[in-house]
Amino acid sequence: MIKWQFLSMLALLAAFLFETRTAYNWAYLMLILFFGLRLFQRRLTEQIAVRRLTPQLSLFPGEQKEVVFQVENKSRLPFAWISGLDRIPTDLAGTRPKKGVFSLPGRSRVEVPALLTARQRGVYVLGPIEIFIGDFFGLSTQRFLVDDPQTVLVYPRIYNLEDLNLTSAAVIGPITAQKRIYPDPTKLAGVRPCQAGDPLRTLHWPATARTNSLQVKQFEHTVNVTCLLLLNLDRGDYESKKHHLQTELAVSTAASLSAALLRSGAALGFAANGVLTRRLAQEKINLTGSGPILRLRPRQGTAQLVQILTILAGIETQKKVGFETILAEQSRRKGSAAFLFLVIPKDSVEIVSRAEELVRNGYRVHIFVAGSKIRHPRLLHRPKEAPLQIFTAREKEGARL
Amino acid sequence: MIKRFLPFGAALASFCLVSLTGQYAALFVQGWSFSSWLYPLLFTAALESSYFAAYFLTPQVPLLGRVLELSLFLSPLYFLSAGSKALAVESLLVGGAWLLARGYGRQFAEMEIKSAYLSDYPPSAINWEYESLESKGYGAGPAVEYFWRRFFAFGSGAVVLAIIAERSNFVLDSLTRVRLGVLTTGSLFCLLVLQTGAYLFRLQILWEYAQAKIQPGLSRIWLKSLSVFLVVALLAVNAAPVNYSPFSLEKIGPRLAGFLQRILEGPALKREAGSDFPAAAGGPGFLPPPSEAEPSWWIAVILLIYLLSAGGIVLIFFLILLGFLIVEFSKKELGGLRGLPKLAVRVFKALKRVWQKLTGAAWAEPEENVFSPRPAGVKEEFLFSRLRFSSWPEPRNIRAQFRRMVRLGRKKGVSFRADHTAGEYGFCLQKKLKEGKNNIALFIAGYHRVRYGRDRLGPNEQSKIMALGSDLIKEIKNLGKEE
Repeated sequence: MIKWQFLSMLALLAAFLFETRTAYNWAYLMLILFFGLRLFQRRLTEQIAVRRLTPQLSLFPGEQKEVVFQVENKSRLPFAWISGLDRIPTDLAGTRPKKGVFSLPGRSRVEVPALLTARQRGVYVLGPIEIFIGDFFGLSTQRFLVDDPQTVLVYPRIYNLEDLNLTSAAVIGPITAQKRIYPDPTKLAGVRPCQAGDPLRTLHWPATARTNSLQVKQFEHTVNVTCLLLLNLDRGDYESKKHHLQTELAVSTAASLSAALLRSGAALGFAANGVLTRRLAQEKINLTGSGPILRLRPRQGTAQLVQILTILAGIETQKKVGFETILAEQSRRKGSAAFLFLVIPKDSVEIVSRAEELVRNGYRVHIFVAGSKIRHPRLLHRPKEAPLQIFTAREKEGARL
Repeated sequence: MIKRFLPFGAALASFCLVSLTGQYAALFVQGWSFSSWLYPLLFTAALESSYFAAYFLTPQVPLLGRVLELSLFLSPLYFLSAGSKALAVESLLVGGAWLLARGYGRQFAEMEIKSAYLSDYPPSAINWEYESLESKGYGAGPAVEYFWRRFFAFGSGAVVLAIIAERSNFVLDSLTRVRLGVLTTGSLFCLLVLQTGAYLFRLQILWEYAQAKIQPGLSRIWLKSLSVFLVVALLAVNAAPVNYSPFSLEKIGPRLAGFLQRILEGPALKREAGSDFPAAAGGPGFLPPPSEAEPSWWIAVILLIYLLSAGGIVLIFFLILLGFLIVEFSKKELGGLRGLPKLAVRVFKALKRVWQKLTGAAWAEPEENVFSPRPAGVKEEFLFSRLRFSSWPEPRNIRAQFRRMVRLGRKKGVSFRADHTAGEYGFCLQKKLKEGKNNIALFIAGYHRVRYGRDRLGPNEQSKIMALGSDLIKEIKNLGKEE
């Protein structure tokens, strides 16, 4: 480039010496090309605005979604070509992302899409966006990095319980209350003659008309149970050869159980001895306590499911806090939940004895082993009412299809 | 691709440059004027040369081909020129236009040929971002530097001609001034358009290899924006002030000349009396002339023999060299001449295609079927399907069936990506198929057992899965037909 700038100066010198219009025109043109255009374009690129158009993304494995960023030329002058590429983590890039090239006239904007394919649970950060701007003649190219990161959550895979080889007995829905205090207005059990003290709004008018005596609705008395899902992510408990597979299965099992429980109307809490990835810091998670255990207070509804899935998206194993710590802490917190769901890679003697201790404290405990071996087969296939049961979570063949 | 327009731009630029040179030549060469019929001849020569070089010229094309090509444009000059001087000048101009355009056209072809090495690289490794003069240090020089060099050389040449014309104090009429102005501006415009066109062409080649996602109509938007830029730039250049230099040659010339004279002359030398010049001939300062004795006859004989043998050796050496060159040249020419008819056919077909495109081609002949002549009454679609599908043998096992499914699926828009597992591919197919949704899961499970399992499938099981596979293949084949 310096060579051409030097030649431009020579052309100007020739014009000054020989004083001819053609020489002047030639020198001006050279100066415009090799000095003016470069400087001008540098100035002009300040008028380029790059922004992301896609709001925060959450995907399930196998899902595809398009993310878009917009390049806007705020000036009135055109750009010959601009190429832009969003840096997408490998686990999110379905195919090799193709660089987009476009020409941008003055006061115009272009949207550059990229397809994300969620394959692996995790928290991913898109960006920075790399932008190259070139001129019409191949004189210079400018490169910019737009640091506008975007977090993409890939939730763990949620299976139907059957696909994990689990029966509906593994989870519980609303149960019939022992004390008939709370009638459930959504569950009509029948009608009965009206007695003194029955509220007027429970009158069943069609039945009253038919029988010619006051009849009231009789509701079922149910209570929603409070459950707690405990996930063991102590690295030492997982087989080193199958660490990844077992972790993912445990996390998916936890996610599937959470979905099933919350769908059935139960209030679900969550505790795990894992660590959250740093990239998850931006997400809003209402964790309780500040110890090494990640804990969510029991709640109902979709919002709670989203919270749990968000944690599960970014949770990783660790080796400092054992699962026994969670169980010991739980036995101290009496009355926080009635049902405990333990998702563990192996049913070690310590865990089972702790579970038995919890049962003695009045809990019902279901253990889900996301591993290949069961060390306590006596606890398998027990009656539905048994307070301590073990289930094996195993992905059924073709479950992903 | 912009390539098909580039030779036209090259021809236009060559035409403008040579016409401009011709206008100046008309000033410098006494008794010759630039005839108006020379314009179309120059343009046609440039056009033919650039397109031929861009699309047909190879090292195998014999010299005779080039001679024929050039004579096509030079022969009319013989009849049109008025006098030998005019013929010489006009031939030079036509030859110049032809050669200029040839250089450009050859460069376009080379840009494509030299880019072939890019196919050895994965698309992700190819970038175009540093294909600029400023980024030259990062790698090899950009391909468009050739055009920049020519741009500078021709621009400088035009400036030199203009300076000479101005310094020679020619009296120019207004028409000549306008003509020179238009041709100068036109040359600059064309050279810049050619410059950007070559750059865009280079980028398009790189984009193609890099499999970049190009905005539709990018070339159109590019050229539109460029034309605005060029018009503004050329207007600014023409409107800018001139002749205001504080150190023009007229102003500093006399002072510089005086200064140089002082340096060159130096201090005056003192003359010493009687020592400046030698004495006159025959004086004391001269030696007596040697005596001129008659040489003996044998010296003449030796000299003659020496001259004859030396001349003979040189002659033999020259003849050998000439013979070698003739043999080599004729070998190459004969090799090239063999390809000349084919080249003529290619040129004819290309011209025919262009003509068909220009005229709408209502009478155009159908394209030749290279593989097999189509039987009368057979639809093309059927023929295609027969060629593509029916010739394949039936898959013999489950794995072959899966491979067939993948091949067919690719044609129907469900490609098996490198990162796909068989199960994931099955999932993709499942989304597309209507009837065989449930069969896919079973088939893929069977495939998994065959491909990765330890046990062999029983004959019953295998035949069941193969039957499922055959149904699925049929369904994939029919995908899209119902719509």
